Amino acid sequence: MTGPIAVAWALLVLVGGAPLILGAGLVSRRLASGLAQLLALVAAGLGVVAVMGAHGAYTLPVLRTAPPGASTYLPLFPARLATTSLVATIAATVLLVVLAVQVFAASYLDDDDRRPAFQATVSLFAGAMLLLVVSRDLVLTLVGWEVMGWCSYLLIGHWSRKAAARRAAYKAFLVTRLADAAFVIGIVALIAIAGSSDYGAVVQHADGSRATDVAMTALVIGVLGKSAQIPFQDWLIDAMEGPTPASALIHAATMVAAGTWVLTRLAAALHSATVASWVLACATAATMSYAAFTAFLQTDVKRILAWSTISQVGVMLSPLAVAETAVDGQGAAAGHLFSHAIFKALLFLTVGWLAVLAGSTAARDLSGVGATSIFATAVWGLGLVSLAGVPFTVGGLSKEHVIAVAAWTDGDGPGLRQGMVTAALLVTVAMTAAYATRAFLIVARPRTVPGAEAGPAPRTGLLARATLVALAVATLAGGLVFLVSPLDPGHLDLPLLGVSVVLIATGVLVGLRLRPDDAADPAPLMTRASRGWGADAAYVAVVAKPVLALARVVAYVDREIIESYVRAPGWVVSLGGRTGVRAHAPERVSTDLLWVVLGLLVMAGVALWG
Amino acid sequence: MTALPSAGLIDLDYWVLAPVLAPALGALLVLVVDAIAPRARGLHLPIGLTSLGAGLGALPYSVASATPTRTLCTPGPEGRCFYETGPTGLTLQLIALAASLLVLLMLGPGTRHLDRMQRGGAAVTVALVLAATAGAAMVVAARDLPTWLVAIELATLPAVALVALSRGRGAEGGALSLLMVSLTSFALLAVGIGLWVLATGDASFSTDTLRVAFDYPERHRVLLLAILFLVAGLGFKLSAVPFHTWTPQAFVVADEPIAAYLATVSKAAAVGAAIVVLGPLVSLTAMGRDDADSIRLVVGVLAAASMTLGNVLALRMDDPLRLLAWSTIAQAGWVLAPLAMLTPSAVSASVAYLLVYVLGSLAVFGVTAAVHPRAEGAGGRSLAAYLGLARRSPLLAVVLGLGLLALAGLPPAVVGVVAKIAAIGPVVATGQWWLVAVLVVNIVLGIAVYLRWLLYAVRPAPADAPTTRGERLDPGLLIALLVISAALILLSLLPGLGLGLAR
Amino acid sequence: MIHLLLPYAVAAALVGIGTYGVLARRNAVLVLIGIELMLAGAGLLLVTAGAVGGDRWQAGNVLTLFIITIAAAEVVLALAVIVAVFRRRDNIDISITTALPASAPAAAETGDPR
Repeated sequence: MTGPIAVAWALLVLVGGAPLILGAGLVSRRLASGLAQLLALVAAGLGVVAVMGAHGAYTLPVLRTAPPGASTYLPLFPARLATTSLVATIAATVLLVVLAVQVFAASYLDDDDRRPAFQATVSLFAGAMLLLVVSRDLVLTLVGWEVMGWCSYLLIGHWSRKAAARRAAYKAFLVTRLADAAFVIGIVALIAIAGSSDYGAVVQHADGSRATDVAMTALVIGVLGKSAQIPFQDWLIDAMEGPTPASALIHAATMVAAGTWVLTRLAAALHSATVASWVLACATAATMSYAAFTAFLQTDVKRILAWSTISQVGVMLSPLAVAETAVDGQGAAAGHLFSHAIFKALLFLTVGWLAVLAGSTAARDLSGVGATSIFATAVWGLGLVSLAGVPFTVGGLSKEHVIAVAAWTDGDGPGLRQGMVTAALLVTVAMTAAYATRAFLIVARPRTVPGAEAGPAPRTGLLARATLVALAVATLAGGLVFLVSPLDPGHLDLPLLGVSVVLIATGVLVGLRLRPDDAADPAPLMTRASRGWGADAAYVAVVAKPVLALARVVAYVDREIIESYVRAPGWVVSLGGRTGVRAHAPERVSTDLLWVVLGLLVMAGVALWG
Repeated sequence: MTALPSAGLIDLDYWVLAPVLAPALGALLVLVVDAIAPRARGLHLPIGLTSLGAGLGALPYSVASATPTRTLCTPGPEGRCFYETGPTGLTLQLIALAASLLVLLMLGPGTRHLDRMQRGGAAVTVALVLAATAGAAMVVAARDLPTWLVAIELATLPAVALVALSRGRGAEGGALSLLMVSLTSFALLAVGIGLWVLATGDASFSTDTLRVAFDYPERHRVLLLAILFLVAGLGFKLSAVPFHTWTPQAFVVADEPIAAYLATVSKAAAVGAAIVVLGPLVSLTAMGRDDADSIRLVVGVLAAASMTLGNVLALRMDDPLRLLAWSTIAQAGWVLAPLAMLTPSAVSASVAYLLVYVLGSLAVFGVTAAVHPRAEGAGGRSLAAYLGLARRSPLLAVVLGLGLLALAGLPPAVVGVVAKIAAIGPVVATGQWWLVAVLVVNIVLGIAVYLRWLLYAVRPAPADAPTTRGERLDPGLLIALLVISAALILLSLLPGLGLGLAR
Repeated sequence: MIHLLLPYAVAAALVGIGTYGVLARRNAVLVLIGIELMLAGAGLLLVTAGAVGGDRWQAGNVLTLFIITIAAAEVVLALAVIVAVFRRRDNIDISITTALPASAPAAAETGDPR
């Protein structure tokens, strides 16, 4: 039982640590930073313990809900955590990346007065992600999902004095929230069908019926939102307003991958749901190619990475939609999740460092900054190599696995879905290599156009450098993990491997040849690309404006129509009062006497007639 | 000392009669002292307080002896008693005497203050107050017509004099209005008594005679008319619509303690008198007869009209005493509503409500007396004087809050809530749903009326207001306010105490 | 014994005329007289009841005496008030308004906290 217990302790450390870090921040920023890193270290250690102790599957009940054997008409809520070795591996990966982020943030945000708040939020976020990873229960998953959404809002909008950051934060929140509505519906439907919120029970009851299909489709839509796939992709781009460690955390290891993880756990259910699989397949296929294409045209390096993330998440999700067996899909998706976490974190953290050296993350400004730091350039190059999927880097291994699973048919020819996804994957491979090359060239080549003045060389701590080194090593050697863990590299298809190498080479050539950065002014195409092809304006027009108009109508109805019922009696009483006051104003004694006698007459009338 | 050595004519129990005799003797004593030693002006108020205290002290004797307590009884097998009090009557006597005591405290030991307020000074004022209180205590227990008539007039006329002696601006107008209405009502009472004696052949409020009279059709109608005349004659004293028009005129010109007296002791006397008149009808209804159904309707209509008109107009008043006058009219409706149901529990409920109403009104009148120390008369006072009261004088604000909330029927003055429930109970039990609907609407209106005032006290004063508004808190007024607040709080914590008194 | 209709009719007439006096007269003293007429009518009713009834306690006659006494007391008070009013206002017309100009202003003008 070491696995689940270690994980439970890690949860406690992370979630309980968040307010502690905040409190320490009131005392001293250094204290808070130290505490945050320490807690992250402890949690990561516990994650490693969980990996080592996880032989087989154990479950740990979190809450006592219904006593065993009791029948209630409410669905069961077993609320269990589980660690299989797969779960433990992913959990440990997440925790290690969180540790890297906390360490890096300590020096990156050195001059930020709200650093303790940032680190506390990171800790809470990590706890939520961990909960989602190890939960065996749909309700706990939902809890983690929602908490992550809120924490991402806080992290993206960390530099809240900037209006752009605030807008990006609530845009991210609102867009994912809209998708979360579908997510919740999906979860509720699944619980209702299965009569319990346990993953095992849900998968058991998933029998390809229409109800399951609808539920899974709703769930898939929710995942698309969180993972920034079409049509929800635009929030991730704006989320670059947050500090780089936040982007590393959210866009590498955690939030965008959370959806993948949930679908991985429910892969069996997804496998039998045809409509959901189609939706997922179409969305991921479109997204991965479109995003890779757009990444090539960006003017800001950090945005290149953002579009890259969108594309890679599409790659991650695609095997779940088209795999021949659920187990295959699970393995491929989880594998790419693992490797993407590592190399994306590395890339984001490095670009953060480079941006401090160069003064900004615009391509123009980063141009040639590699000369200042060989170490940074080397690390940058390694990350990009893994991103491009060069064989035997961790990125290469997982990418091959994904393509192999997507392309493999069980003898009866590729379906339309499979073909579409496989084609998209191949196109993406080429374009990924292209933009990876471009990104490397931006940094490595000497400066050709004048850019921003470089800032003073930052005081990058030893720990930060060590972190980057560790991540780089993991990028190269991470492939070894595939051999000792359940992240099965699977079918190593030699013909496909050959095709990939050819595609990568093509992409690199394209990247070397087309030099959009040589021009003094960015081409209009690039400008439009950097604005996400107008997706933001589309969001506002299609969603925001109609909702606001509806809200105004509702407010009007409430104010004018419903409230008038409340105001009417007040008006009546007021009118009566005014009339009464006017009637009583001339205080004549003769009138008083008249009233007395009239009163008597009326009383007599009422009594004798009544 | 119980019975006089029997002269064979009537038996007197002085202890039982003490609540009536003590104030009456006190009034006489005050006048005698004023005649003998005109310069000993400081004596009058203490004499008044002592005599009322003596009356209050004698009440437990009646409680301890058999209920109902009787005295003034004629001997013999057909003997009947002219003075009889049950728990309801004793509660009403308690209310009358205690309220009178508190009003005297509010008038203050400072005789210069009294001289400034009222013409005639302390002696006349105290004597009039005591005399009216004696009448109020008497009418509650009267069981035959002459006693009842004398007592009710004894309770009414000194009040007219008190208003007329006020030095407030416009006092003569208010006094004239009150006087004329009082006299007309007396005439109506007299006619009613004449019809009653004609119909029943007997000058007593006894169930048997009424039962006999109701059985004859022509007597039935005359008796009904008699009861109507009597109720109409009492209506002005209750401030029930349409006999209410004197109330705003009189309250606004009188000094605040005198207005408080009109609002409390006079009402207690009127309610006592009404209970005596309607008492036989209650017994008849309990027997299952339906002779009194038309009376029930009439009194119910009076109650509904008073409540509604009182609340609606109180909402528009800016002068606190006018607001209180219309509030008194509304509360009269609340007291009458259960009484109209003509059941024994309804009578207890009515008296319990009266108790709460008296306490709340006295609290509010007391605060008004403190905030407006000079007799300003008509048009001199405004609710704006209460802005920022909570900050200037927290004690006055708390007492005001207690009183207003008790009248409105809102927590934390739980006693007010209980009183409202007690008043609605009999109406619901009898099934008069139209009246229940009116009561419910008036709960809402009542809350608006009193909270409006309370909001003035809670809001901060405008920046250009003088820092002290000249509130005066005489020692007597302070003691009175503290006693009233203590009573309200005690009854809020133990509401059963108030309800139990009346049963 | 005379026919009882006669006293009843006279009593009714007295009460009626008295009521008319109360309602229609503008002079306070005349209103007082109207009230006295009503009381006279009531007294007549009581005496008649006493003559008819045969009550052991002679309630009708006793009550008449009570009414006369109380009426006397009331008249004293009433005339005293009327004299005071006359001294202040120089007339005792009850149909003129006694309201002073600044009484009962509308609540809305003094900024009540609504």
